[in-house]
Amino acid sequence: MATQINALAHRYSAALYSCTYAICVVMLALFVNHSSVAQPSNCSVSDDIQLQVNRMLGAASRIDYRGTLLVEYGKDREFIAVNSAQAQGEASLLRLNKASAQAVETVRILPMDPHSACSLSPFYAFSVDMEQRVAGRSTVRLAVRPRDTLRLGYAMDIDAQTGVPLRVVTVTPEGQVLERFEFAQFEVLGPAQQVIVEKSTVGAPDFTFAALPPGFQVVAEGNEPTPHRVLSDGLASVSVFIEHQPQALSAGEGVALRGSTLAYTRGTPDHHLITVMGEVPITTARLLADAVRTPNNQ
Amino acid sequence: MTVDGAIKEAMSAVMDGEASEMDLARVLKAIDCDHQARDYWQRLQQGASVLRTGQLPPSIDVSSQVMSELAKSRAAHRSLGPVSSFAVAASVTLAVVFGGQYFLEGGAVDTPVTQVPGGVMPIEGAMPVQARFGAPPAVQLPARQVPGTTPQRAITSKVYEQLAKERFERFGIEHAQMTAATQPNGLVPFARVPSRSE
Repeated sequence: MATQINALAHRYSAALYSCTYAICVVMLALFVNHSSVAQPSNCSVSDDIQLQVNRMLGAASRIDYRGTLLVEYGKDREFIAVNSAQAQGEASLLRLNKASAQAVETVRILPMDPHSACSLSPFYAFSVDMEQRVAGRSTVRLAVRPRDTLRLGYAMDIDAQTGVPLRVVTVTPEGQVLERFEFAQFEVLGPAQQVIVEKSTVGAPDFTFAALPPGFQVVAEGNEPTPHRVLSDGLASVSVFIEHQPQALSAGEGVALRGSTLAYTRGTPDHHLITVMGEVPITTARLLADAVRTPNNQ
Repeated sequence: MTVDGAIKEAMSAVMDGEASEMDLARVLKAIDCDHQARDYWQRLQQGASVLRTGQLPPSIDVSSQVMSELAKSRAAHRSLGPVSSFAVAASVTLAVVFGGQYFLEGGAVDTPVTQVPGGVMPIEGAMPVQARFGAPPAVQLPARQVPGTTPQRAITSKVYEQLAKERFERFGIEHAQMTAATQPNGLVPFARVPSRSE
């Protein structure tokens, strides 16, 4: 009798082990499948929506324009005069209601990394809705809803003529508005000058990620001003910076937030300071900080 | 008390039009019996409304509108069968892998409080953050459960709050430069962060 019970228990434990192993394999396969922004073979996005999304992606880097941009974080508003028609892909910003910032900021804009409605569809659901007028121009409302809690949602009014998003409202997955960008005035100047992008070879930072949230992949890395890696899922972007911290400081975490951008800083027991900065929910920032592996913490 | 994770996943699947029969039944029952689940569903609906219209709705009649929507979804999904079930199962599995759990608490959407969506991560003392909309950037995270007395932990928390604020200022431009090529409009990342002269 005891032998039979033992044999039965052994059989059950073997079956349980096999089952657990199979589940792990399935989960790993799902993880690997979602860790890169692969083009799905069976894109479920309708042709109409694909057209609108694909027009919107990168439209701002295909034309030169100038205008006045309203940036709003709750009760905090700022008007910025922008002009993308500068030499070598540069653009200018002039903050109109900041007394201390009369100087024009010149920034370099590179063409957007290639993505499409289909490559984004595993992580975002799209819908096209009513038309509104923004800055006196006809637009199409594109709602971009995250499929999980690892990214934010967007309501975009995209210019019917150029595809440039003229109004973008960023919301949490629960619909709470974090920030709004809206062109009060928008003027198309012509096609943009082609910018030749030379990939600079920089040393890779000495930290890695044990895993990445679904859809995110590393798109840039470097060591200045401090070792960092930049990740994107095609719409949301996040930068991870690593510094050495004074040994006197014990482990802890803190966060600063402005609009949809957060800076999440964590001190680790091996005396590193990890800062995750980007337009993502804090869930994603914490996941990335968890996943960081330094040479002392592999 | 919070809404069960499986219910949240089921609601999310319904919102995405990927729910199975079982999900629909689960959501209907939860909305009928659990006021927290009803509130949660209402917030999801409000979120979808904001995305569609850009406007915050004054209120949503959950009891009738939701039932009607779900009934329509149920009819539509009968024909899909196990395919839609697999989509939900995959989404649940991924959520398990990454430990991301919906965590919605408190405030109605039309209050001035911004709630950062928080997943409950395996970090001691880590909790979702509540920040006041339009407030200064520094937001205080609850202190982590690390060794030390309460005053020590409070000091550590303050220090990290300050460190995060300083890094927001310090890395803002670098973040904007590095992510400009990943945004639909490369100017926007620069508009988001403080300029060097501020």
